[in-house]
Amino acid sequence: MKLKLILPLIFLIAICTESCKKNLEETAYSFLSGNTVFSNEAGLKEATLGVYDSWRADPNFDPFYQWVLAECGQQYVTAGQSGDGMITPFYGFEETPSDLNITNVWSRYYQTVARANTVIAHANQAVSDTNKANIYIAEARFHRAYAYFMLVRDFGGVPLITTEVNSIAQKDLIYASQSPVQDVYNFIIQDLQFAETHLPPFWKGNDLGRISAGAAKALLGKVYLTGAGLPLQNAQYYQLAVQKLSEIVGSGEATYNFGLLANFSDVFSDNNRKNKEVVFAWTNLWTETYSHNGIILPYFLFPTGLVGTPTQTVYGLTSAFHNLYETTDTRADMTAISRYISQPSGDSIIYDPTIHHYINKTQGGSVVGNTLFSYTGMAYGKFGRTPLSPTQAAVPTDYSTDLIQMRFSDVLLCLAEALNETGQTAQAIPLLNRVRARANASEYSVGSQDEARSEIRKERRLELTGEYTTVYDIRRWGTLKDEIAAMDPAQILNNALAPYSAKLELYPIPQKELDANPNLKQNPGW
Amino acid sequence: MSKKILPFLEQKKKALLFFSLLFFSLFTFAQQKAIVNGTVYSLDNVPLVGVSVRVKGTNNGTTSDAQGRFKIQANKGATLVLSFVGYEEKEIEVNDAGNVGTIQLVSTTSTLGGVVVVGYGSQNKRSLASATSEVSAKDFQHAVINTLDQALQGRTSGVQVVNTSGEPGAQVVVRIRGNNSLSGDNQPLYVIDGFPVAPYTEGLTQGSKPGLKNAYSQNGLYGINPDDIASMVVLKDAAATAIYGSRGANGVILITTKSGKTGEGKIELRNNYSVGTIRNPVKMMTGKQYAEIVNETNALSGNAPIFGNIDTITTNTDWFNATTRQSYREDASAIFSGGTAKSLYYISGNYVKDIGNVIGSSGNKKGSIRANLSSKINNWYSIKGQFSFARQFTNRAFSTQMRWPTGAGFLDLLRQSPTVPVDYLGFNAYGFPGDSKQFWFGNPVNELNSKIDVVKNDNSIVNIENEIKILNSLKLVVSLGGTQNLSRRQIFLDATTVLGQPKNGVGYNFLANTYSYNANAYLNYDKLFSDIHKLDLTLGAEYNAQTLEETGASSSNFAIPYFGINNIGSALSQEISSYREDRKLQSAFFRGNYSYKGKYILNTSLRVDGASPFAENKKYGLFPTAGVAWNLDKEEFMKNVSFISTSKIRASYGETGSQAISPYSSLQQFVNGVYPTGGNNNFTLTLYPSGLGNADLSWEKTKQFDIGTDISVLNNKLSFSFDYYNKLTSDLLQPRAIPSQSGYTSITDNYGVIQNRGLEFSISADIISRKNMELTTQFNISRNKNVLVNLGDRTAPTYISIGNNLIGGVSGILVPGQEIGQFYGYQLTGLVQTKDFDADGKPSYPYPGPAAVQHPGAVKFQDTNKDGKIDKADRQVLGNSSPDFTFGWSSNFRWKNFSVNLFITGSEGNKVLDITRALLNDGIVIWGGQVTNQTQDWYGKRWTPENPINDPRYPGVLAGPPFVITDATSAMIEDGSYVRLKSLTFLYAFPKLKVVKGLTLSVTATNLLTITKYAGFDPEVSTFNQSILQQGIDYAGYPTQRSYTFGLSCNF
Repeated sequence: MKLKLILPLIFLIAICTESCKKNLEETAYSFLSGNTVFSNEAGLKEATLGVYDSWRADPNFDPFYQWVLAECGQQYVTAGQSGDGMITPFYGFEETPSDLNITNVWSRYYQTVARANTVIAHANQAVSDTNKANIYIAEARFHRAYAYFMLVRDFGGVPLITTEVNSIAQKDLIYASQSPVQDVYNFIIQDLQFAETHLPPFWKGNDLGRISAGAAKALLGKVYLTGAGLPLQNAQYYQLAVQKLSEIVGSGEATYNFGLLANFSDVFSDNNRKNKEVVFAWTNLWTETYSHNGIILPYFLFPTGLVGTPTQTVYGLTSAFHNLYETTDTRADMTAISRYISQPSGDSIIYDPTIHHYINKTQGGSVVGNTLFSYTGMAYGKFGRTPLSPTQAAVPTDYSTDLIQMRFSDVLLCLAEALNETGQTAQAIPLLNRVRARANASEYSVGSQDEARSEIRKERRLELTGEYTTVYDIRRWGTLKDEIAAMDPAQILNNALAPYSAKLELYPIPQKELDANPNLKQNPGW
Repeated sequence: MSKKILPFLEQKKKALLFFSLLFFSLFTFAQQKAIVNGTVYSLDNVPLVGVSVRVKGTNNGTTSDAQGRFKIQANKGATLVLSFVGYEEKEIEVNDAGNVGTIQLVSTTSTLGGVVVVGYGSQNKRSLASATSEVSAKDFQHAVINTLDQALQGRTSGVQVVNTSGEPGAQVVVRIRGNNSLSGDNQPLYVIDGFPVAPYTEGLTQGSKPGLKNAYSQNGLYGINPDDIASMVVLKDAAATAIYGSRGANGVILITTKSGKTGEGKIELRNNYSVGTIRNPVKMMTGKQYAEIVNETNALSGNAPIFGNIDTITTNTDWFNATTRQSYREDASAIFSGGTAKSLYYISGNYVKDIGNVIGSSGNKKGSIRANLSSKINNWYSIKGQFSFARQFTNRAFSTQMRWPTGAGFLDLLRQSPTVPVDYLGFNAYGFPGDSKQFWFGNPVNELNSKIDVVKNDNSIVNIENEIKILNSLKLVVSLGGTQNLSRRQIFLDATTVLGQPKNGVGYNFLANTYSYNANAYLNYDKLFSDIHKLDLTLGAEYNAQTLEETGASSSNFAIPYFGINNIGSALSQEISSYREDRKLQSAFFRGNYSYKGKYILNTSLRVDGASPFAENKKYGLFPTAGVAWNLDKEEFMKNVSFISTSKIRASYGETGSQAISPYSSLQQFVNGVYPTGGNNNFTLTLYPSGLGNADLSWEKTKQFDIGTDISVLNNKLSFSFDYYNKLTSDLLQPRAIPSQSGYTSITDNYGVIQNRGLEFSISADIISRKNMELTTQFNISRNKNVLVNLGDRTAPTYISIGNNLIGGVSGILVPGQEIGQFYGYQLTGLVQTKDFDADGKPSYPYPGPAAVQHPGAVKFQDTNKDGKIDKADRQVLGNSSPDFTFGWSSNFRWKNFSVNLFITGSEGNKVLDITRALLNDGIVIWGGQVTNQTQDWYGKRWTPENPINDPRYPGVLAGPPFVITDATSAMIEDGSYVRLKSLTFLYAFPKLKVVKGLTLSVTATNLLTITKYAGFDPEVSTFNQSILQQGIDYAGYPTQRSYTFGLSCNF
C-alpha cells in the first residue's frame, strides 16, 4: 500500500523541484554562443574571417547592388545587351529612398560593421597575447573603416556604431542619429591607423588575401584624398594622402609586396588571384560541394556566350567610353567589350555603335539581345573570363570571380592626384605615365596643374571604371552636373534621364531605416 | 498531506481484508437467495449488452445478454451495481418483489447531464462553466475523411475547418474562435487520450541551412485512424483551456479513442471503396483558338503572325484531360474488441489507399494499427495503455521543387500550349512554328510521370496511464508516454524535367525525426459533502520535452543516369546539412470546482508553465481562469416550468498563452559560413552572429471572456446552446524591424494586440424517436470578427505579398484598428473601348505606365485619389477573406433498417482572391517567355471590337500584363459564400444473420452539390493554408473532387 503512494509522490516531487530551473536552459546544437566562439584563437580567426564573408556571402545580389551604387551614375552608362533591369533607375538618376539597392547596401555595410565590432570587443577574451589579439582587431577595424568609407561616400554623415551591439537594450546605438561627415572620417582614419600599425606588411601562403598593413596604408591614402574633395574639402588631407601613399610607392613597394603586372588582363585572371597589384579583394569560389559561394556579378555584366553560358547583361558602356581609349590601349577591350566570339556557337559578335547594339556578324548582322531596347551598350568585362564548369554552367549565376576593391594602379593614380593638388605636378606625371605605359598607351607630356588634373581624372576612368570608384570620384570632384549634361537621354530607357539636382551628390537614406529609426534625417532634397 | 493519509490507509487495508473474509462467508449464504431479473437499456432505449451487474459488497456478478437482460441471485433490499464502460455507474435496490425491472444507464458522452472529458480528468457536463462541445463518432462514421480534423468540419459551432486543397493527404486548417497570432501558430492543441500531440511540428521553425524543413508530413494527424475515435471534445473558452496554459490559447481538442466493452469479443470489418472525378473541369482554348489569339497578340505589337495558316493546325492537346483521371480510394478497417469486468481490449488496423485525380504518383497510402488496453489490477489500481503506429506514404502531385515554368502546379499545366503534341519532349517553349528552341519544354504529362516527390512518415504514440485510488474520493493519475514522428522526403527530378534538365537531374533527401516525451501526474479529490457541497479538486504537474533532428542532402548532375533518388551520392554536385533543436515545457496546475446543490457552480483553474524557448528570466507564465454557472432548472421556481428540462447560464474569464516560436529565439546565435583564402582560394570556415538575442522575449497572452447558456426543453428533445465571447491576444510574438545600423534587421519580439469576438449558436433535436423510426437533426452557426487592435507603436499599414507567384505583388493589407484578412489592390472599372482615345491616339482615361501599351480591350483602373494617373496610391481594400458566418447542418433519418444521413456545411460573406481564374482569363496568351493559354470561357466572352463589353473579368487580347501592376485587382476577388451538400449517405442494416451479427451496406456521395457564385474550382480553398495573412487565396490549388463511396461493414 505504501509503495503505490510513495513511487508516484517521488515522481511528482522529482519533476516539480529537482530539475525545474536548470531544465529550461536552452542547449543549442546547430549554432554557437559568443562565449564559445571567443574561447580560443581558432574561434577568433573564424569570426574574423566571418567579417570578410560579410562582403560577399548570400544573398549574393548585395555585392552587385554595391557595385551599382558605385558604378552606374556616370555619363557612359546605358542598358546592357539584355536590358536595364538591375541598374534601373540608378543610371537615369531616378532612384528613390525605397529602392532595394539602397536599402540592402545600407544594411549590408552595417552588417560588416557589426561583425567587426564583435571581433574587436572579444579578441582579447580569445587570446591572452595582446599583440596577437591586435592583429585580429586591426583586420576587423580595417573592415569597419572600409564599410564606413563606402557608407560616407554613398550617404554622407551616417550613424557611427562604435561598439558591439548585443542587446536591444542598447538604444543609444541602435537608434543613434547621423554623425557629421568629419566625425565619420575621423573614425575611419583612427581605424586605419590602428590597422597599419598592427598588421604585417603582407600575408603569405594560406593567409594570402587577408588585409595587410600595405592595404591599410593604401586605403588610408585614398580616404585622405577623398576627404580633401567634396563635400568635406579638408585642405590638410592632400598632404596627408601624399605622405601616406608615398610609404607604399617606390621603395615601399618591395616592403609591402605591391607592384604593377606587366599585362593588364593578367591582373584579373582567375589563375593569378591576389597578385601583387591587388591591394585588397573579396574572394569567391564556386565548387561542386559548397554551392552559393560564387558571385553573380559577371552574370549581370558579361555578354551572353563570352564564357560559353547565357547571361543577363544589364549594364552597358557607351561607344563614347570605348572611344576614350587609344587604339593601342590594352585596357579598352578588357573594360568595354567591343567584340567577342560567342561560345559555343563560335559566332562573331561585334558592337555596332551606329545602332547601339551588338550584331551577330556570322549570322548575317542580326541584333543580339533585347530588341525592345533602342540603345544598349558594350558589356563590361574586367573579370577572369574562365569558362564555367558544366555543373556550374547549369545555373550560371555563380562565378568564382574575386571582387577587386582596390588595385595598385589606383594607389599610383591617387598619389599622382594628391601630388598634383599639392602643386607637385612634375612628381605626379611619372606615376601617371607608369600606369599608361603598362597599358600600352602613349606617354603623357608635362603640362599645367589643371591639364594634369584633367588627365589624371580621365586616366582614373580609363584605368578604374567598374572598380567601385567611378561615382565616388565624380562626387568628390564635383563634376556630376557635367556628367549628366554630357548624356544623351536616349541612353536611358524611355528617355528617363533626370536633370541634375544637388541632392544627387548623395544617395537618399533608405526609407526602411527612416521608418525604423525616428532619429535619422533624410538627406537634403530627397 | 501524505502523513495524514498513510496511517488511515493502513487501517483501511486491514478493514478490507476483514470485509473480504466477511463477504466470502456471505457469498456462501447468498446461495439460497432469490433470483432477480432485470433489463438494462441506454437512454435511447437500446438494450445494452455486456453490462456488468454485481451485488454490492459481494463477488456475485454477471453480465447482461444480447437483449440487455440479466439474472442474478440477490437478497431483497440488496443493492445491485451496474457498470459499463462509457456509461455512468448506477446502483439500484432490489425491491420487495425481488425485481429491478428496466434500468437505464446514462452514457458518459451523452449531452444530457453526462460526464465529459476535460483536461486532466472528466467532469459532469452540468457542472461545467465553460463552452465545450463534443463531436461523437457516430456523427462522422459514414463521412469519407482522411484525418480526424476533417471530421470536425461543420459539426460544432466556433470551429472553422477549411480543406486547403483536393490533394490526397492535404493539410486542413482548423481554427477555434478565429486567429490569435500573426506569425505564430494558430492551430489548436490536440490531446489524444490525455497525451498532447503537435500536429505539424516539423513545419514550424526554420532550420539554419536553406533546404531544411522540407521533410514534413502533409497532415500530421494522419497517425490517428478516424475509425478509432470515440469522441472529440472541443474546448473553446479560457475556462476550459486555461488548464492547458501556454498551449491553450488556440483552443484544445480532446480526443478519446475507443476501448473494448465488457462481454464477448467482437470483430468488426469495414471496407469502403470510392471513385471520384474533379468537380468542375475546365476547358482551355483549342489549338486553333490559341493560334488565333497568339497571332492577334503579335498584331498588337505590330509583328507578323506567327501561325501562318491557322486552318492547318491539327494538334489540339487538352492538357487537363491528359493529366487528370478518375480517382479512387480504398479504406479498410478491422477492429477486435472485448473484455472482461477487469480487462478491456480494443485492437484495430486500418489501411487506406487514395489515388488522386492528377496523373503520376499523386496519392496517399497509409496503414495504422492501434491497441488500447486497460486493466483493473485490483480495486485501487488500474492501468490503461494506448499504442498506435501509423505509416504513410504521400506522393505529392505538384512539388514545390518542380516548376514548369513557374511552379504554379495546376495552373501551369492548364496554360501549357495546346499546339504541342502530348508526347513532345525536348527544346520548345511555345509550340510555335520555328521556335527559338532555347528552353526545355516542360511537358506536363512527363513532369507528372517522371518526378518523384514522396513524403514517408512513421508516427507512433505510446501512452500509459496509471490510476490509483487512494481513498474513495481521492485518486492519483500518473501518465507517461512518448511519440515519434519520422518523416522522410525524397524528391527526384530527372533530366527530362524542366528543373532536372539544366542540372542534369536533381535529387533531394530530407530526414526529420521529431520525438517527444510527456509525463504528467495529478491528484484528484472529488467529494460531495452533506449532499449539498460538491468539491472537485485537481493538483498536478507535467513535463514535456521535444526534439527535432534533421538531415538534408541534395545533389545534382547525375552523370550516371541509372542512379536516382536512392543513390544521390553518385551525382557530382552535393550539399548536405543537419540541424537539431529542443524544446521543453514544465508545468504545475490546479483546478478547483465547487457546486452548491448542483445549482451554483464555480470552476477555477491555475497553471504555471515554464517553456524553454523564452528569455532566461521570462520562461514562466501564469494562466488563471474562473467561471461561474447557474443551473436554473434546479431552482424551486423553475420546477413548475415543465417544458424546460435543463437550463444553465454560465460566464467565464481566463488567460491562456502561446509559445509558438522557434527555440533559441531569445539567444544570440553564431552560425558558420566559409570564406576562400590563400592564393588558390581554399575554403576556410567562418563564424558570425546571425541575429540579436532578445532578453525580454516572453509569452503571447490571450484573455478571454465568455458568456453562454445551455437550454434543453420538451424532455430533452430539443436543446440549444448559445455563446458570446471576446478574446484579446496581446504581446504577439512576431518579428520587429530594427534599424539595420545595429547590424541586424529584425528581432523576434512581443508586441501588438489581436481581438476575436464572436457568437455561436447550436441546436439539436430528437424529432422522432420511435422503435422503427428516428429523426435527429443538429444545426450550428458561428460568427467571428478578427481585428488587429494595434501593432504597438507601428501604425503604418503592412502590405502582404504572396511572393513566388505570378502576380508577385501585394495581395493584402494589415492596418492597425482594422479587420485581419483584407485583400488589397486595384479596383477595376471596366475595359478600354475604342472611343477612349483622342485623335492623336492618347488615352482619355487614367492609366498606369507608358501610354504606348494602352489599347482597346485592356482593363481600366479606378483612379481612387483622382490625381489623373494610376499608381500605388490608388490601391484600396477589395474585400475580406473572413466569413460573416459559417454553419453546419446534419440530419439523420432512420426507418426500420434503412437510414439516410445528410450533412451540409457552408460559409457566408467571405471573399476569395481567385488568382487561378484571373490568370486563366486575363487575355494574355504569352508573356515573359511563358505560354499562358486561356479558357474557352474567356475566348467566347472576351472583349473584341465587335463585342465591346465592359466586364474587366473578360478583357480583350493583351500583349502583356498591365504595366507596373503586379498587385491584386478586383477581377480576382470573388464571393466565396457557399452551401455544400458535403455528404449524403444511404445505409441499409441487414437483419441479424446467423454468423454475421451486423451487416451494413452504405452509399455515400461526397461534395455532391455546391451552391455558390464562385467561378473558380472550389470556394472552399486556401492555398497558403496555415498563414493567417494569406487566407482565402486560390492559387493553382489541386482541385477538389466529387466522389461516391460504397461501404460494407459487418461484425461478428
